[in-house]
Formats: sequence, C-alpha cells, structure tokens
Amino acid sequence: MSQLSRSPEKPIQIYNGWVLLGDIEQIKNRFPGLSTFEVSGSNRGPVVVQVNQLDEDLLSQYLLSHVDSPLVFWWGGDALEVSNRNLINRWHPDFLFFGTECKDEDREKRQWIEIASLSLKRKLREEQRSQLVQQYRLQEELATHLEALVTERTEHLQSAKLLEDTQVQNIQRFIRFVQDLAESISIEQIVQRLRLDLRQSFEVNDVFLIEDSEPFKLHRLVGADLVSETISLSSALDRHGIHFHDVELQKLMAEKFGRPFAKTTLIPIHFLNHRSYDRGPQEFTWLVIESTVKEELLTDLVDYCLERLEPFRSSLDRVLIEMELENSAQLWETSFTHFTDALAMIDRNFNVLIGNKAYYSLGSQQTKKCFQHLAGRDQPCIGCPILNHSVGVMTSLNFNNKNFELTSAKLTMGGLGEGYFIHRYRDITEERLMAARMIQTEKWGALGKLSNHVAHELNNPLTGIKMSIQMMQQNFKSEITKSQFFDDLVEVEKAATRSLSLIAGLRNFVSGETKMTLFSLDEVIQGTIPLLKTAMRSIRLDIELSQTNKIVWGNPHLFGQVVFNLIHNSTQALKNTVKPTIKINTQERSDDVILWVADNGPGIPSELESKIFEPFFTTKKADEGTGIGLSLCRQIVTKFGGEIGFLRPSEGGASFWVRFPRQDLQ
Amino acid sequence: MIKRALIVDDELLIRRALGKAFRARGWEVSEAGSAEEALKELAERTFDLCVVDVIMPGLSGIEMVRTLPITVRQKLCVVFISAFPGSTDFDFNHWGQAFIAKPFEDLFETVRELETVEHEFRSKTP
Repeated sequence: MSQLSRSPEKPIQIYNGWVLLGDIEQIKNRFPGLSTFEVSGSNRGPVVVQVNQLDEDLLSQYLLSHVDSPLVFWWGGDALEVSNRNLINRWHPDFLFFGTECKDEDREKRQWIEIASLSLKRKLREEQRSQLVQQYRLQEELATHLEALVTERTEHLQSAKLLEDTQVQNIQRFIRFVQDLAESISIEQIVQRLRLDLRQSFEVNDVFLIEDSEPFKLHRLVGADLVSETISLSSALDRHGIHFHDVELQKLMAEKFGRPFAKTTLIPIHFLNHRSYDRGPQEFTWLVIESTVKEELLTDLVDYCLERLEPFRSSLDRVLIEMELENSAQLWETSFTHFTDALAMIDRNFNVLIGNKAYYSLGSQQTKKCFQHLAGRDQPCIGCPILNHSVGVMTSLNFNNKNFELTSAKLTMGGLGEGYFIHRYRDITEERLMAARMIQTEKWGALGKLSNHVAHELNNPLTGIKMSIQMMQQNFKSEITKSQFFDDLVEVEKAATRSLSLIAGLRNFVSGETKMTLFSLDEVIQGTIPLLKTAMRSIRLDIELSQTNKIVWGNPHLFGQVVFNLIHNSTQALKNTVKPTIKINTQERSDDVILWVADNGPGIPSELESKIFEPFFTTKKADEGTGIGLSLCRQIVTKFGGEIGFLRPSEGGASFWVRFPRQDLQ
Repeated sequence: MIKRALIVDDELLIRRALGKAFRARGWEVSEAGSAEEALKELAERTFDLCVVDVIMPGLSGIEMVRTLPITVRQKLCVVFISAFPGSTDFDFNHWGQAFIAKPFEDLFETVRELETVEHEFRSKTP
C-alpha cells in the first residue's frame, strides 16, 4: 500500500477535464496527444491513476466527485504483483493497462481514445440525465401542487356535502319521527318512537314518563306495554325547568328497575287534556330520559328533545283524546247493548238503524223494518207513534203474544236532521197480567162479601116464605086440593126455591174458596147457568147434561167461573146472530169428561186462533171485556190437570171444550 | 109428656112456620124474635128444645146460649140454624147439639130431623 500512498511532491493536475493521478509527465509522455481529447465545458474527464503513484484517499475523493467518469489505471512498468492487482481490481476500473502489456502502441492509443469517447458519452449521458431529473422534479412539483389543490377542493366539497347531508338527514329523521308519531295509536308506541329516535343520535337507555301527582305515578315502557307504578319523591320537582341528574330519582329508579341506572334528564310536559285514565299520564308529566351521554353533550340531547317535544306532546294529547273518545264510545255502546229493555233507533220509514241485544232477541226475523222484525207484520203496528206522528209518548203495543210498553222519543240530531226515533220496548205482559189478576181477585173478593151479605139477607125471608107455603100446603092439602089457590102456592114455593138456588149459585160462584176437591161437573154447570139468565134472555139454550154424575178433581167455584166465562163469551158473540143458540153438553168417555159450550155465532177467525187464549187478547170493546177471561179459564183448567180448546164446527159458530181426567167415586 | 120447643129467629115467617110444624106434631111451642126475648122465656119456664138462629140483631144465638146458666144448658137441646155461610166457623158442637143451614129443603123433614136430635140428646142425658 505504501506504493500507493500519495507523494506530496506529485500534485494532482487536471488537464482539459482529465484527472491525472500520479506522475503527470510520465502519463503525458505515455500519451503525448492527450490534449487533443480535451472536452470543453467540463472538467470531468476520465480519472487516470498511475498505479504506482496511487493515493487511496485522493482516489476515493475524486471518485466521489467523478462518479461517472471512466476510471483508468495505468502503470508503465511491468506487471504488478498480485497483491496490487487485487487492490486495483477492488476499484473496478474501466481500463487497466500496464507497461508490459502495452507493447502495442496503437492498441494503447485506441484504448485511450476509447477512454476519451467513453468519458464523453458518459458526460453526455450525465448531462441528459440531470436534465431529465430536472424536468422530472419540475413535473413532480407541479403534480404535487395540483394534487394538493385537488385534495383541498375535494375536502371542502366533501365537508360541505356532509354538512348538507346531515342537515337533510336530520330533517328527514324529524319528519319521519313526526310521521311515526302520527301513526302511533298508544302512549306506549309514542314513547317507544321517541326512544328509538333518541337512540339514533345519543346513547340513551330508557325513556319513560312520570306523572307528577301525589304520589308520583311512573309509566314505564316494558316490552310493548306501559306499566304503571307509583313512586315517592321526598320533594316535589320544580315544574318550570329541566332537571339534570336528579340523584334521588336515579336511586329510586335503580331500586325500581333492579339495575344500575344511568343519569336522568327530566323535561316537563303539560297536557291540554287532563282527564283521569287508568293507563294515561295526567295533566303534568315528566319525560324522563336515562342516558350515558357525556356532560358536554347533554345540552345537545336536551335541544334535540325540545325540538321533538311539541309533536311528542301533541301526539300524546291526541292519543289521550282518542282514548277518551273510545272510552266514551265503549261506555255508550256497552250501556246501549246491555240495557235490559229493548232499544232501537228507527227512522221515519221504520228502518232500524241500530238496535241493542234485547231488541234483536225480541224478534225472529232479522229484517230492517221494525214491525217485520218484532211482530212479523207487513204493516206498521197499530198505535205506532211514528205512524201517528206523536213523539215523546208512551204507548202499548201487542206482538208475539206479548204486551209491550213502548216509549218513543224523537231525535233531533245534528246533520241527520229530524225523523229519527229512539224506541224503548218494555215487556209488561207479566206486569199487566198480575195487575189484571189483582183487580179480578179484588172484584171477586168484593162481590163475594156483598153476595154473602145479600145471601143472608135474602135467605132468611125466602126460607120463611118457603116454609110458610109448605106449612100452608100441608094444612090445605085435604081441603082444597087441586084448587087454583093451591096451585098458586106451589108456584110461589117454586119461585122461592129458585131464588134460593140462585143465591146459592151466586155464593158459590164468587166464593174465594180455592180448595181442591172432587165435585160434580153437572152440578156446577147447573148452578152457574141461572147467573147468566139475563144475558141469555133472548138465546135459545140447549142443555144436555147426562144423568150420571160426572165427578172431576178441582175447585167447584173456580170451575164455575170457567163455565160462566165460556157461556158469557158465547152470549156476547151471539149479539148479532139470528136465532141465537148455545148448546151445552157434557160427555163422558173412558178416561175423561168433556164439557162442550157451542154457539152459532160468527165463530173465531182462523188468524186469531193462536191468540185467543193469550192474556189481553180481546176483540171486545174496552168496556166489554179485559181480554183475560179465556186466559184465566185456561189457567184454571190447567191447574185441575185438564185442557181447554175449541173447534170450528162445519155448520159455523164456535165450539169450546174443556176436558178433565175422569175421577170415579169409590 | 108434652115436649116444649123454643124457636128463636128474627125472621117472623121462619119462626111461625117452624112453630106451626112443631105444634102440628104435638109440641108446645114458644117463639122469640130475639135472643133477649128468648132468654126471658128460658128464665120463666123449662124447654126441651131450643132452635136458635145464629145471626140476629142484638145478641147472637151463640151469645144467648153462652149466657144461659149451666144448669139450664145441660138440660136443653140446642140446635143452631143460619143462612149465613160463615156461621159454620164456630164450634157449634160445643154450644149446641146440631147445626142446620138455611134454607131448609123441606120444613117437615127439618122438623123431624130436629125431633131426632132432641130424642138423641134426651137419651144421652138422664
């Protein structure tokens, strides 16, 4: 290496861009025309290093500044020892030539020229490259600049869009919220909507309502249900402001809900409607929001809530009103439907708009017209207040064998106008029957008392008369038998006897005695007929009673009333009949006894057949009959285990029959 | 021995007819139009039979019988007659021997019936 170390006396000289390291003269001598290889404008020529003059530091210094310059190692002497060669090879020279190897001068010269041209090429390439680099740098700078510009613009646009989007989204969300509220039909749903809406933007756990009453009533949403509980706060909350994180409430809630409870925010709500409901909040209510929102975001949450408070509150209000309406409607409907009397709303054309349960159960035909439904008629009922244009009245109607009290009220409804009626039908059949029976009983009672008195008062003198005559007859028998005088006495006695039997019959007839016993059918008939003598004055009576005594079980007085009624009905039916006749006969069969009362009157129209035994059915005028005669007859006969009915004989008229089970006297 | 009958009835015709019928059968008969009159008669003489109407103005037939001293009552056959249906309500067996409702079907039959009642009563009481 010492050989290579640079000698100070041999400075580096540069000629025309060539760098010569080593003995310059020697190098120049080696190639005298070196100057012809000058490259103008550049001092970066080939670096020629004389190997035996090699200074490693210097070389590396030059190599650093002549990176692309061809490196030429030259040594004029003989071949280098191997160690030096290795050292030189380490520098990867472009050219290497040694004195011993440069015998051929031409070849060496060519090599030097080649070195020079290589150097030139490299120089040119270097220049080209640096130019390209320059250009590239410029382009790069431009690109970077543009890119920055684009990024900046994009970012600006993006942020603007984002802002706009957020606003639009917020508005959309708000609109959706209001729409959802409008579709909500319960308090639960409304609270749920608010909770879902809040959760989109905030970390909200639970949302519920607390009614500010004494004690506080808690409406909490559990699942889809609103659960009401009561809680007690030690002090009332100030109703004028929003409360943040009420510690006492938080504790209470944690206790109630059985879980750790996040911070509460309370917002007051006033309701327009303040009716009391089981499941709805009252006039003043707190909206409670349980959230884990950070302190600094709490105002955002409250602002957000306040924005939604108005639609929230009015929706709750709406639901409360709806509930109230529904309640009222339900209350009304329930009352209407379950009212025990039949109710119906009817228009002036007798169409039923609505009827209650009782109304629909009254009739069999489910038709629109009330008279069709109720009475099975084709025409309105006689006495219908709608027909008579009388309103606000009570009247009595008969249908389905029943008697109804109809209260009719005319409606004056807004919009519908006039012409609607509310009809209430009350079944008063039993009531009237009872009243009629009571009157009947009273009548009989009074008549009973009277006839007893009359009987006694008449019996005494009549008995006297009769006995006196008997006495006279006894006395006169022998003297003036068959005389006119005696015959008169016989007649007087007969008259007295008749009077007495009439009194006896009357007394039996009105007797209040109802004890059941065995009695003779014929005897009762015979006792009853005299009572009807006046009524039957002009009627031919055809009585055909059997000789055998027909014994039946029952009460003779009551049976007398049956006979009386049947005959009396016949006399009334015969009023306009020419040659009126009543036939009464009894008939005995193997196991029953039958009484027939037949007349040759107009008979019973077939359409009334089914009704004549119904109470209050009558074809007579008000002063002629109550219409309970035949129904009473049926009642009495049934009580005796018998039956009553009628036939329409081919020759006309009506023929009533009463049948009793036969009782044989032992 | 002639039997004595007292007929008590506010109805004159009944009284007379019964009286005549009894006399015709050999009875001695007194008639009274009221219970008060009858009590006077009963106080004055002894009777075997007393036919008494239940309902009369003033004292009723029953009240009349009740008023009688026990000694008189024990020896008197009392038969009630009445035209009033409610008359059977009282216990006539306690105060008398029989009850006959008015009107009578046949006067003479009634008298014979009354005689029988008296006879039966007499045979029971010594």
